[in-house]
Amino acid sequence: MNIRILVLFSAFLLLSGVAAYAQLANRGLTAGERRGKAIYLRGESASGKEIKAMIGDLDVPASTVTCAGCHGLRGEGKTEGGVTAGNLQWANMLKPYGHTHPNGRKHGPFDEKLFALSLVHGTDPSGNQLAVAMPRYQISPEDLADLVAYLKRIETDRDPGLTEETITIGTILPKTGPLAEIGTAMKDVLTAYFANVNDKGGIYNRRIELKTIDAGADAAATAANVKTQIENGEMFAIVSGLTAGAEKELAAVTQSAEIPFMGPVTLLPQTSAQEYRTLFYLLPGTSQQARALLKFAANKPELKKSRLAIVHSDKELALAAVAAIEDQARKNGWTSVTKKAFSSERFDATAIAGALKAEGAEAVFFLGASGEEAAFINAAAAASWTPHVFLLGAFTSRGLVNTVPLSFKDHVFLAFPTVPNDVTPAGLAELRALQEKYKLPSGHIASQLNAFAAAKIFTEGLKRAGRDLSREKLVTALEGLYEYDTGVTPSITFGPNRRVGAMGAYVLSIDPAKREFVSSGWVNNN
Amino acid sequence: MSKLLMFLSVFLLFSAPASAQHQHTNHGTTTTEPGAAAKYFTDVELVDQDGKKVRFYSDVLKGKTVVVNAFFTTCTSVCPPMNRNMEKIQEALGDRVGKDVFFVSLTVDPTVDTPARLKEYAKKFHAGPGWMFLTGKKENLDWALYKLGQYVENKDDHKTIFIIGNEPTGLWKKAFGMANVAELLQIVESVVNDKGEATKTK
Repeated sequence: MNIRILVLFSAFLLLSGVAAYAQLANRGLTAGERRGKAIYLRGESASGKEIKAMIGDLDVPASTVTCAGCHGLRGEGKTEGGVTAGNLQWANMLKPYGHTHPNGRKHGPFDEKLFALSLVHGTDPSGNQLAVAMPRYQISPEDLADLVAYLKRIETDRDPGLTEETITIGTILPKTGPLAEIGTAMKDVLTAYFANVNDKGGIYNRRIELKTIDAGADAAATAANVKTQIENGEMFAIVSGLTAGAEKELAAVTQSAEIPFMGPVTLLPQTSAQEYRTLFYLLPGTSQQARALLKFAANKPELKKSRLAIVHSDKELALAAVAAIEDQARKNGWTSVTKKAFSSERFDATAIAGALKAEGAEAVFFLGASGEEAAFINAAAAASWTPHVFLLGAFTSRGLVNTVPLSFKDHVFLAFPTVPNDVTPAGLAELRALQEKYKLPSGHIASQLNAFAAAKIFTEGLKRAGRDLSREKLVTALEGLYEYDTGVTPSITFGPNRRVGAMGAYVLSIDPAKREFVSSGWVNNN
Repeated sequence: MSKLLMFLSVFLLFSAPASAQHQHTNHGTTTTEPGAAAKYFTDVELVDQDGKKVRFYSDVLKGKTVVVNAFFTTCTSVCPPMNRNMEKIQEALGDRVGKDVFFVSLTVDPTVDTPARLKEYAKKFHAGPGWMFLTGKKENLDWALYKLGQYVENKDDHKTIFIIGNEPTGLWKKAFGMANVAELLQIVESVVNDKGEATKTK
């Protein structure tokens, strides 16, 4: 045969193979394949009956020794503890020349019947015993058929929302109500950011497509909307969102769907990496900020062994901070800590200041509603009492800086998750370029910056995860981010046990004479 | 049994420390004064599942019979069945665990495995008070693992071998961690009941 024809012919074969692969990879799973996947990943049978596994004479549910546990999420096989779990991708199992394993065991190719034998009796196609670590399963013929169907498909199975050409993601924003305008501002930034990424060729030749999920009227609606989108629509991950109030509900929804969620705006992050592995936050919430503030207080020599009082309202946000302060105080060896709760309807600054003065409190963490802190400080001043007062920026009024009496110089400290100086010239230029290119309005800059940072970190995660993308790989890539500079926030670090990117807070004091904030720098929580 | 023999090798890891100890013994009884075993293992600081700091030799090994293994909490393949086996041994030995014999599971992934994670993991395997899960500074843990012959560069390479040792007599054995529980129990008993004969200087 003419060489040129041969080359052309083989190129054609290769291309058609690639096309067929792409087609398969883009097709959704059939019902049987989906059931098989549940068996493969979680050891769950669609029949609801338990699949049993035997390891030696140990009898356990298959859900504790899943196929994926040893053979990998994609059936690629892996070696651990000197035990090699083989590659289960169907094409590999069917190789006509069979397999020779590292320990010398040899056997011919599998077929469906031989596979069933290996699963149930623990023998390979040549009748050899499989490794001891490979359990034998008691599985019904229906479940077995589903499992085989999935193994035939596993190689080209992708996470939801992922095709050869696209990555579909969602964001959760209010479409109506008082926050709708902020929602629109954030949506515009996200849309522009990903349009710009796509403009430059996307991520490893995949375009990012963004859907907006309506946050709805309340927490239950938010959770329900997100759940519906996860179940109906194909969605790989969620990026950014205004979801205050629905923290717990959303954490539960994203956890059960194992969908990555990058950078929701909230003061109450659900930070357990163990429980909510796919949930990542950019900035510290009230409890992380409160911890940083306490660490700062603990380092002040004049407050060594002082009497600490926590004065707080009965609101959820305040209570979360109270728990964090108490815990951190214990860790820092603070022995004298008292708590005083008040309800916002019956707030009496003079009475509280009087009582705390009588108790001899020297450091006061005040967690009330905006404006109450100023009333408290002025009541203390009127009683000629000057304790150190610690506040969370999120709970204080803008006018505070103008109302602090002169006697409280170097006595009032506030924690903030981010400060204007976090926005570097480079970061600002990047955002400005986007605003110009996509004609974005410039209002609600803080929310825009937040959405921008979430989009940027998510994109960085995708780049690090590589072309052979999966949710698992994205989460692992994000866990590897160390002091990543977004240009618009404090630097972001995640880790296997860390889900808040900026873990700590800025502490600022107030100079009452000049009526301005004075920075005491960033306090790290770790 | 032949399968087990393949995996099981009885060996005298610390014949030198043991003989050193036996020079101070009377009529075959042993002493537990800090000798060569303390020197060999050293007292690096580790942290248990309750966040308590412990010393590797003084608090974990000294004067005890121990069953030791290496694992990590995010391991999905061999660690669960291996620790399930440990759980079965714990069940079989009942309240002798924490008195006659102690279990020690060392993580090979200390940066991820915080005490809180270990505590959660311990609960999953119904670990009683005689079963210690240890993490700590990576260099300390690496050292402890190295001294037990369990150090690995990559966490996925960790071994599935139980190290069963009677620190006072100096008898140490190895067994395959996923072997039959009855066979493992026999080995554990043989180490618990050791009178120091095996390691006596000839």
